[in-house]
Amino acid sequence: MVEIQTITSKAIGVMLVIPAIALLTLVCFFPLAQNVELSFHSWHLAIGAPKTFVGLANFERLIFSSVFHTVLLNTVTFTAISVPLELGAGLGLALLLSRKFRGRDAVLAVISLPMLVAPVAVGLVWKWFYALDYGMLNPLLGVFGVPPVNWLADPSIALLSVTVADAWTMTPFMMLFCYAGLQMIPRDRYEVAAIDGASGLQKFRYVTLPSIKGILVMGLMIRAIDAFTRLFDLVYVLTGGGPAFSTEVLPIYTFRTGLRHFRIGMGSALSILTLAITVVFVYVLWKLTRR
Amino acid sequence: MDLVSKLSIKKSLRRILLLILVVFALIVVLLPLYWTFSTSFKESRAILHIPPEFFPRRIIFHNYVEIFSIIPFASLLLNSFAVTGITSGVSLILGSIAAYGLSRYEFPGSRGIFGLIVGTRMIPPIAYIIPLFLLVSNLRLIDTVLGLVLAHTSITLPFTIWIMKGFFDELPRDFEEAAMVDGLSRLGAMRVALRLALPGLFVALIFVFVESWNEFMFAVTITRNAAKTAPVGLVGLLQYPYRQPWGELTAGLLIYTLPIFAIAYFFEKYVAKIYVLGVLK
Repeated sequence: MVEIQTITSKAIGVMLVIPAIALLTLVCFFPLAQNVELSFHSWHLAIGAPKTFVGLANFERLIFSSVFHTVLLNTVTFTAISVPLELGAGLGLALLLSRKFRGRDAVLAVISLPMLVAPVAVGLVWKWFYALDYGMLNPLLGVFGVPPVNWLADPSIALLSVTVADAWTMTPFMMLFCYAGLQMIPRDRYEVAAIDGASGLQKFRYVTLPSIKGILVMGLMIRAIDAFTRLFDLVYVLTGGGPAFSTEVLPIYTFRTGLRHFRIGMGSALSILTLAITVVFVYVLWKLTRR
Repeated sequence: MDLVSKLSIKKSLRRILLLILVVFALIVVLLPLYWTFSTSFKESRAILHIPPEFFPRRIIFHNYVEIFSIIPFASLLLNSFAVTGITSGVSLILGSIAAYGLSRYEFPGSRGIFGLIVGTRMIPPIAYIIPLFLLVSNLRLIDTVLGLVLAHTSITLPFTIWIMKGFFDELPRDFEEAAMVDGLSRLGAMRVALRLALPGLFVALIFVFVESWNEFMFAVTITRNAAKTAPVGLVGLLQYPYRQPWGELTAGLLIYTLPIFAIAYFFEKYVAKIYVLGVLK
């Protein structure tokens, strides 16, 4: 009797999970697996060319392609600048806002607002803010004597402009992250440090930082993966990858190759490479920060 | 000068510095938003004025009317609501049932399945968007609300399962056991648990809503005309012939972002929970 009961209870558990797993298999697991298979094929959907097996040829071409090198370098540069910038600004804001003052909750709410706004909307807002003639940034900087800058059309500046817009919307995430971490530090650690005669800076160095190190590392990892693999909407709206490939990053290039030029195999190979690099990167970062 | 007044000067200097930094942060956050906001109330002549007007001399509401006629903005918003609504419904129903199953019943592989679902959250959409596009077109669902809903559930369903399992795990089993002793079926017991996990469902709903409402990459891939969503339509305005209609565009942008502002305003505490504590769990 007991045995039958456990068997039926197991069966019920499986039945409850099946619908969700079936749907996820259809829309995520299966496409993910198929992506690996597609990356070994050449398949120009746009010109109606048939799907043919080419082995590792797609990857080989990518590895020796100078465009891919540029795209990879852009993505790495963006990640390397945006993540520390957002972490630093986020931590600074969190430290600032963990002091008590009147209206703190309202300030916290306003500053976290950009995080919720759709990335596409952020892109449009900043495209208009950056606009050469009709935007607000150039006249504003003009007050301080800065000559007008073509923020989105100058190849040497465009990626930085994208990074700033990204920092605007993603710093709040880091801030909330660090803020939550700061709230978890027990008060008595600071009291002990104060008794030992620690200065403000020493308290930060020897109490605050070690206490939130775990959270900082986690925030760093999440943002780094996002920066490397999810920078799409902002670039699509702000620059479309231009000028002269200066803001062409992996997700945009993958999308263009696979879903605009319909080179299915090459697009799949690109996304597999993106995923592979991310996995290696996360593994290394995880090993490095565990010590 | 005695020590006490020195300390109090130091303290007030600190407060002034704090104030300056906070005001600076607020300006940086609000300035780009203000530019969009003020543009939406300007006449087109004022928008194209050089140097730009920081404060509109004349405030008009014309752009908020015009955005509905230069593009079918009403039907774009309706599509966005349909996609977001159905995605929320599907994710919450399937997700909470699965989470309940994973939380209350152990079966071979149940832990592995949960690990797989948590792992799915780390997979970026770009890693499967091409085959997903092929799938949706094979199902003849390109440019349909259902096609986009399918794509969105790949993001929202794993999150719902994850957050709801957390809520069910924290819920004491006593209530359901009592319900079953009282003669309720297992299904009835699940209903009791669901009612108790209502705050969890609410948290999941906010996340799913924001995620689906804001989503762009799948939308621009899968929809063309009939099922086009609001963000795709607004971005399309950049290709408008002759001039980019920034007055109408900014007006549309603000209408589109209104639900998000409302969520940020009314559910601020939940938002921090979703995006921060959710990750820290």
